Amino acid sequence: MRVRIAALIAAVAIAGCSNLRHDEVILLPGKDKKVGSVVVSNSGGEVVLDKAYASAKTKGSTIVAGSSSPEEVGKAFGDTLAAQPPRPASYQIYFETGSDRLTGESSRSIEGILADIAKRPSPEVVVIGHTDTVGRAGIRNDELSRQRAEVVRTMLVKRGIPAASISVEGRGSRELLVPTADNVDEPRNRRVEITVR
Amino acid sequence: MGKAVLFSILAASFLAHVPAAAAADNIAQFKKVTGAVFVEREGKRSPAQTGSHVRQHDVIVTGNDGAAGLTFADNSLLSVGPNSELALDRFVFNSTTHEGKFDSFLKKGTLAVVSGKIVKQTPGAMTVRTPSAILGARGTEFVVRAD
Repeated sequence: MRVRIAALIAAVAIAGCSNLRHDEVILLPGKDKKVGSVVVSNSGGEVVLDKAYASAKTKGSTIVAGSSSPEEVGKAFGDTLAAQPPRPASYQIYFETGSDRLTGESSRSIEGILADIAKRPSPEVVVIGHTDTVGRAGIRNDELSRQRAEVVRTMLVKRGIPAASISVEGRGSRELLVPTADNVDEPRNRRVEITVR
Repeated sequence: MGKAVLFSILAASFLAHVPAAAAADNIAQFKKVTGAVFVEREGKRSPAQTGSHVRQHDVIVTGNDGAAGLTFADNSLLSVGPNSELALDRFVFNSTTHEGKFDSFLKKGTLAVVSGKIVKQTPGAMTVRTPSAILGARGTEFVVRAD
């Protein structure tokens, strides 16, 4: 009961501050409709927000859980949300076995990626090459994955993307998209992942 | 080739390497900037533009009409609204393992967060402090106001 009274006093104290002199956090639903969670804590306790528009107001050592709404968020955070950068996007480009030659379909999908890059402010591109598990997993695949990434970088630079905005890495067969045993010819693992942000 | 020429070439190539070394420390880039937006670094304040980079320990400051959005190396997205002050206290990210730590302090104003790879790999590895609370992000999107 004492805890409840303390919370009530805190709520009244915060509600009484009509000039909004408190801090507040509101959990939003993700773009994919998934809701994450945020743990809010101070010397007065801890609140876990795990539902869309769940909120916590804090001031001094008080902390009060509540809820907000899309309308309130739009009003209080409209400018802030309007300034959010575009979401990063990720693409896979596939390669012929044992080579740095793109598959025909992947060559064509480059156009869509270029269009995405073109519409972003100050775009950055991260190019990460991978291989399947064919061949000795070690140096050869590291080299091949890097080579694939370099081929993609060269294509992008030729199409006008500044080299300085592109970073390139090779991961060999360490990060398989489709887990396989050694020496498995898996087209979906022979890839370059292009992240555009 | 005279010694003086050789020296100046060496000096030039050395100087050319300085910004490259500093560039490695960039943790994020401004993608949107409207109104008055500044970056405070080592006591100096300079105006921010779309495309400019920020580093660990930088403080983002916005004026009455200011707002800005930043994309971080782990794909976290942060944006601040008018009359805000956000200190980027710590940003460490391993692009291979996705392990890292991201701590910031919203001294005043508003902040919108979309968490990135650091939180996906290690829920709770991103925190936002306000004057009266500390927020541990275990995933995705939230907004914060500090008065």
